[in-house]
Amino acid sequence: MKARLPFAISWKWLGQVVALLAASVTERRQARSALWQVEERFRLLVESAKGYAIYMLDAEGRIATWSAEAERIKGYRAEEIIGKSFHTFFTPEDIQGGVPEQVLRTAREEGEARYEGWRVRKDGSRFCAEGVITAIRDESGALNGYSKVAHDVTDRKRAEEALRQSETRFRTLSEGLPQLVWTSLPDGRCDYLSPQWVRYTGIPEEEQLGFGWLAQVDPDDRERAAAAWKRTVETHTTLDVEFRIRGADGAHRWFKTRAMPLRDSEGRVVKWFGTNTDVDDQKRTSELLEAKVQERTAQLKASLSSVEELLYTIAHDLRAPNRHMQSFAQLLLLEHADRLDDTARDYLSRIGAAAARNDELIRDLLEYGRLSHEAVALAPVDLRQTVQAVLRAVAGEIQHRHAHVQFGQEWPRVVANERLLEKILTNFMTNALTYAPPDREPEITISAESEGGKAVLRVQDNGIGIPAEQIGRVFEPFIRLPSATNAPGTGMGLAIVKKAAERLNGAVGADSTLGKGSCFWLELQAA
Amino acid sequence: MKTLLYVDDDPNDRLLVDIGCARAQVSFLLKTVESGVEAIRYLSGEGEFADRVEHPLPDLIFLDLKMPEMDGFQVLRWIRSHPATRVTPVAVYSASFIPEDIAKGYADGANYFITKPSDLTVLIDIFRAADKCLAADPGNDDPLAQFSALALEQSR
Repeated sequence: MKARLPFAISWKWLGQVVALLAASVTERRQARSALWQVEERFRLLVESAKGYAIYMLDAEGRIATWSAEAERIKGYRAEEIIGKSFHTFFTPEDIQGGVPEQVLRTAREEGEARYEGWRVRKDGSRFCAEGVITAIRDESGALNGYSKVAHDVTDRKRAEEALRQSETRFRTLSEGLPQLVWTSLPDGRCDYLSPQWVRYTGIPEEEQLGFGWLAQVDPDDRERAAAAWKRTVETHTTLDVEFRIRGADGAHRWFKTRAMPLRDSEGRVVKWFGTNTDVDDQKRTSELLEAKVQERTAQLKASLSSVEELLYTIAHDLRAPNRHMQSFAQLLLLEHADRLDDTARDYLSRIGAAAARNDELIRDLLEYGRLSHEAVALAPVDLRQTVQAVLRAVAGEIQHRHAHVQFGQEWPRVVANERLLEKILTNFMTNALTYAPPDREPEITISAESEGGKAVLRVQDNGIGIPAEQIGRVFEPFIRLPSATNAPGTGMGLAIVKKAAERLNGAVGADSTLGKGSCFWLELQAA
Repeated sequence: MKTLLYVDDDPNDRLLVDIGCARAQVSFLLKTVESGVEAIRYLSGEGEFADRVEHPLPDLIFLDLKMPEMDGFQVLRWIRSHPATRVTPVAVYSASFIPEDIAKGYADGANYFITKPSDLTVLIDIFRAADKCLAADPGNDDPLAQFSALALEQSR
């Protein structure tokens, strides 16, 4: 029987209605007039109350009327049971304990008796009945009999029993866990704290129910913890927050607190289940670890910057001899040329060129190192302006090589650093101009496009191209292409470009067809 | 006659500047000292430098940075904190092209930051420009400024 009346109000009401109707039936049995109407109403009520066995007892407790629902619930047909004592429905234990008499006495003395207990069906099976017996008296107050309304509540009883068992399981579980366990009402008020809570805090459960537990939260964390809990309760989400809770020993330990809502079939939160896990040791260990990492990082940074400083000092010291070799070789040519033959002059110019190359290499290495560590400020940059600046810088070379430069239509703004962007583009342009074959004039196309938050800048040339097996390596330090061994440069140019692109959070690459030309591209975030 | 004081611990650079000035046929008197400490002794007129006829206070100072004992930055700060030299133009003349060095040089009171050239003809140009700066009527031009700009360009 799924239908269930709210117990306190309706049993009384139902009992009285039935008793009143029954009384009219009894009274009018003698009166006869319009009797059929009242009887018919009573019958209708009795028959339509699905799940309710409604019948009458005479003053001695014998069954006086019966109904289809009573038959369905108890298994007896009317002819089998009318005239029998209502003891028939009780268990032997109850009969022995005098329960039936007690129920009738209560009804007689107090007007009605409500009961709940195990009853026996005709086939011997038991069911749990809940019901009310109401005494029926005539106008003089003499007892005419009893009306009885009974209801099979076995399902509910079982559900209650299951709930009690699950409650017991929950308690056993929650009390066996190392965590502090608690539950709260849908509005966030705590209604249960596991003994671990009480033991850990040393404060009785009743003082901590509702929002009393907040008093045990570290004052520095209290506002944050309360806010997190309020938000969780309001948004019906899962709580995951860490705060310190004061223990009975006065120490404040870190706990990771998690809670989840328990919802009914319609999705309403009916309860919150929460745990507090002691993460104090973990927390302190990770804090210690964090501090250690920071300390080590600082040490590394310090040693790195001292290495860098050393590098600069070395570079400075290395550059001086290069400078002197170059200058004195030059001086020899200037002041003593008449005493030198062609071979000697050739040797001298070779000394000067080697020194110059050495100096260039040192500068490139320094540049490469500096790019790895220096702070790079990123900001929106107008690509068109950068392209123009670079073109001005290489204008002499463009003219000298009779190069033709063409431009795309689109110039997106990019996130970059102007100096590094100019460096990259200058390098692309210098390469495009340098690696032109001797038999044709350089044709260079500079274009850009943006798509999906990215912008790509391309420099396409009609130069000698790069062999397919080499193209993956051109951005590595000291890689010089076999075809380019006579070209100027240190082999660091594209490595510097790659490093610069990395510092711009971008990427570089090259596509090439040997003998036709190369396209170097730089991809950046669009601004 | 104007005086240019050149401070550098490197004998090769001192020789090159000597030759450069000669080839540029400069009209200033080139005085050379070999360390930061000696520069300060010169500027404060200590010992043999007390003779201001032989060792006149300079009208322009070329100052190397990386020197043992007392580096160019220290000398520069000394120059700027002493009344006799407070307004004397100073050109830092260093192999350095590190932006930080350039910024520090200007912050400490340098008027120019010139990178030592590898090419002798550039060196000659630099001291010819210095000579122009020291001329009786330098005009509105600042011939040394272009070499400062070059250093800044190279540091990028």
